[in-house]
Amino acid sequence: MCLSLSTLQIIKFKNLETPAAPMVESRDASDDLIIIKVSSLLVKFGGTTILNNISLDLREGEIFGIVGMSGSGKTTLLNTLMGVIEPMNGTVFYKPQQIIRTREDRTQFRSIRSDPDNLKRTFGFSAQNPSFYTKLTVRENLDFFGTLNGLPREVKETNMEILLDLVGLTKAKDQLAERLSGGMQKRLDIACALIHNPHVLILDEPTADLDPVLRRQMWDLIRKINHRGTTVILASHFLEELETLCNRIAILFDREIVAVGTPLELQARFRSGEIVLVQTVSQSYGKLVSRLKDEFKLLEHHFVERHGKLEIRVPEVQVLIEELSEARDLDPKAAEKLIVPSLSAARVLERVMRICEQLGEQPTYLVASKADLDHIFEAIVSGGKR
Amino acid sequence: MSAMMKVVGKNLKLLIRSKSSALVVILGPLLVTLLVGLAFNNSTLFNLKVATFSPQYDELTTSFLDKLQEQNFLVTRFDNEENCVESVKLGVSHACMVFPPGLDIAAAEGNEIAFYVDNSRVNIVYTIMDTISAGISSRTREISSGLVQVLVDTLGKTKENAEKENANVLKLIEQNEQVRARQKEIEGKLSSLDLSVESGDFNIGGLRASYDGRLTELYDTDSKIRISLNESREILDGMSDPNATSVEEQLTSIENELDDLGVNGTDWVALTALFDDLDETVTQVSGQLSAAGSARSDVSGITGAVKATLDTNLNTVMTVKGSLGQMASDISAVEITDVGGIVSPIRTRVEPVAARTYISFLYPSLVSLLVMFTSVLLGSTLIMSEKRSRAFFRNLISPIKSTLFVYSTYVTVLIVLGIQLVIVFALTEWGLKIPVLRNLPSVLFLTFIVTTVFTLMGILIGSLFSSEETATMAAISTSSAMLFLSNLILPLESMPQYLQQVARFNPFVISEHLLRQTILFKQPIGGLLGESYFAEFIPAVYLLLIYVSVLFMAVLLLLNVVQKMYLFRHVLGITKRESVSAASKSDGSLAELLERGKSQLAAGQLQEARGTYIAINESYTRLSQGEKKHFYPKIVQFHEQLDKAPR
Repeated sequence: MCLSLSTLQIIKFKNLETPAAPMVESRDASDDLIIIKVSSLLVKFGGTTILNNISLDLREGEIFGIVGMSGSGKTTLLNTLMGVIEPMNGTVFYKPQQIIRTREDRTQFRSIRSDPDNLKRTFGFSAQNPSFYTKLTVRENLDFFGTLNGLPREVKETNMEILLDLVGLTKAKDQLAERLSGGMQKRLDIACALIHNPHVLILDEPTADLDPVLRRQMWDLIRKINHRGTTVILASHFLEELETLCNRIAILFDREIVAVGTPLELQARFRSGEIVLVQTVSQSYGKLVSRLKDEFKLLEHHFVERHGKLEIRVPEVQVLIEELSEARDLDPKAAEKLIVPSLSAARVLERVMRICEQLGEQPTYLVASKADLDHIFEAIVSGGKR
Repeated sequence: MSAMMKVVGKNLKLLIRSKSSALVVILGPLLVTLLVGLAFNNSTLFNLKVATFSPQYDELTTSFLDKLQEQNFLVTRFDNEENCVESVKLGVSHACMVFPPGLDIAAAEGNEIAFYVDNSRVNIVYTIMDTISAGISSRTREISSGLVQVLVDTLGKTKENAEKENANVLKLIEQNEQVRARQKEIEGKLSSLDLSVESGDFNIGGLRASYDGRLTELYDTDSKIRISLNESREILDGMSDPNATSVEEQLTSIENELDDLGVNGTDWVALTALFDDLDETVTQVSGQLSAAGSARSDVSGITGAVKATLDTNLNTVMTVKGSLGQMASDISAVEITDVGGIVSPIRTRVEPVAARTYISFLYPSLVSLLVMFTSVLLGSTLIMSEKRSRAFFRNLISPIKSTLFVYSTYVTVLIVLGIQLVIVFALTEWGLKIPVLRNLPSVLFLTFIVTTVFTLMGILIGSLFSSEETATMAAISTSSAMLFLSNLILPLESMPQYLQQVARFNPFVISEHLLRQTILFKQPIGGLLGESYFAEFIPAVYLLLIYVSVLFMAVLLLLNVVQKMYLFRHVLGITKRESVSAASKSDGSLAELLERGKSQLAAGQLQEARGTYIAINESYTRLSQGEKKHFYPKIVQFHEQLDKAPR
């Protein structure tokens, strides 16, 4: 790998498109569908910039994911949407609940600063740490927050019944909240966020402390909620979760939104190619890597060992060529003359099997797949090395 | 043991690392101790106010007041007794002195000054009484001393005079002896007188007989004379002398005189004999009388001397009489002779304005204490528990006003305290038999205002602090400070002047004072509103209302600011994480960032290390060319490590 003094900075942004425009969409969305518009949001706290030039639109009925590292500003962005944090600059407009429901004048947006109460009725929020009274029962919590949201008694009772059934807490409705399990507490929190039947539900790390089984249950719940017509904004650093649930994902990195799109759009955009996962009995992959490098002209960064498995990132040919050119400081055009074998995950997989056989290694796991969000994200974080 | 010490160390670290906790935990008790030290570091009373009433302010009365003022009492004169006593009930004065009409030291009755004191202030009333009594006693002693001095002077003078007259008395005694001697002498002389005279000695019969004889003689003579006369006449008749007439006349005259003489007898002859006898007797008597005369002379001499002595004695007696009279006069001049009046010329009588037991005296203070501690602690605890509650964030994003929880906390405290007070009042009224409910509207009105003040204080404390222990410590410290700067432990009057001025604005002091008015002295609401504890500018109730307004405004102003800060720091944790991220991005020198990145990498914190790498990148761009050359190999090395790190 060849680094120069002046190119250190370049590495970070290599092959990443920093959006100059507020957002890049795979298709244009009309105002009819958009319910939240965020433009050039700047949030500072104590002199430190937390969010910089954030712009995105959220559509009605979608599950919108926000992914970023810890401390990247996901929670801040969500709280800014809720009106809890005031931005220093930029705007956040939303369609109030009654307008969405009645379909009246669908172009009428309101700023989150103009009518905070309406904003709070339109949005429901479930934070990373469940927020309810531990010394009240499930039912009492729902009743309390229903009252705070100004619900009439009948509406409140109806909503409580529906929600208890939805989140699966009907049997536990008279239990003290502190006695519920982690997953049940999370569901109670979501129920409290939904008691006033908001049109937008914001979830901050909904499955952060849950085991895989409960996590999947939570995914099912989120889907059910979304199927009822609630738009969901989901912040998480579980990439699998976002890929599974979200219609669209925004990647938050270095205080900015670096990409927004469907998982497929992001994969295509970052040209992260395909992935081959291999695991052998010995879990020693030095020779295999060396052979693959020679055969396919792959570079060091195309190989990642993780959890005992070897992950081979199969880039698209053009990408590989560009990487090779840079690494060898060759003229790109001249690099086209390099003989680069056609690459595909299937071909690499086949080759891996043969090499293992030759080396006397016994593979126990072999998978070829498209690169997932995990890889995209890592590519972004690590500077998108090619 | 080591585990226990570890936990202790951890607790201390946690306390100290929170600056507000450290401040309150360490400084709170010190401040309270300092306050207490400043307040009670003396043993006298300051600024005792004494109200007085007298029908007339004469010299004697004024002398008492002057004496009190000399001892730094603030004396206020009232124009009627009722207002004077009322001032004690209102707390404006510590005592009321009522002078009797016609106060006169000479009078045996009616020299009694009445003191009216508020004995509900048990920690000061006896001190006040002692202090004022000392002042009065001082003046009384002066008067008593004066009276005794008069007596002593009179006695001294009397003694002096008595000693002086003693000499005269001795002299009298001596002279009396002399008189006695002279008297004896007189007696002797008188007894030597021979005054025995026999009547026969005078021979009166003989005298008579003699007289008769003499008379006859005389008669004869008479006859002769007459004969002569007749002869004369005859002669004359025969004469023609001019003087014959005259001679005739003379002869006539002689004849007449002879006639007058009436002598016809011989009496005269006898008489002559008798006279000789008598003469002899007389001579004898004369001799005796001469002897008696001599004795008389002697006695006269003696009596003269006695008289002189008596005269002298009389003078002496007069002198003594005069002295005795003067003594009597001097003694009479002493006006006060009654023993009780001399020993205690002025008496005092103490009248309590509120005649009750100790518990009823302390009752208003106890109620104030209950209200203060409950309101402050409960108010701060409720607010803090709301902040610390997991539901805090959801409440914040609910479409409600931020003041809802302030009002709710206030109402909650009112309800809790209301229940407590109902129980306390009921127990007091029917259990302890102290009539505290006679003035219920005033008591309720005042308790409501006091509760509001302290609850807002508690809410403010709960809003200001971010941890339960700090808020609790602050609440306790604040309440303790108010408690110490009050009348409950030691009277305010024992504090220095400047602290007294501060303490007067202590809400606890005002509450206690007003509750005493309503519970003990049955002040109605109107009376409370016009009550002039701070007579200079504002009634106490209005001051409490001002506190309510100020505290409420403070709570409102702080609420949003503090809530947001609390939210950011403790709920969202934005500042800490973001500042760490920011630090990892752009803060610190490049060398530090490299070290940090390597540490994160070594600790397996891959994402954090990547964030640090970004910050390194940013910092690198700001370096000079020479610095870039220096750091470039290290950055490359870190880069490779990062790249090779297991995902």
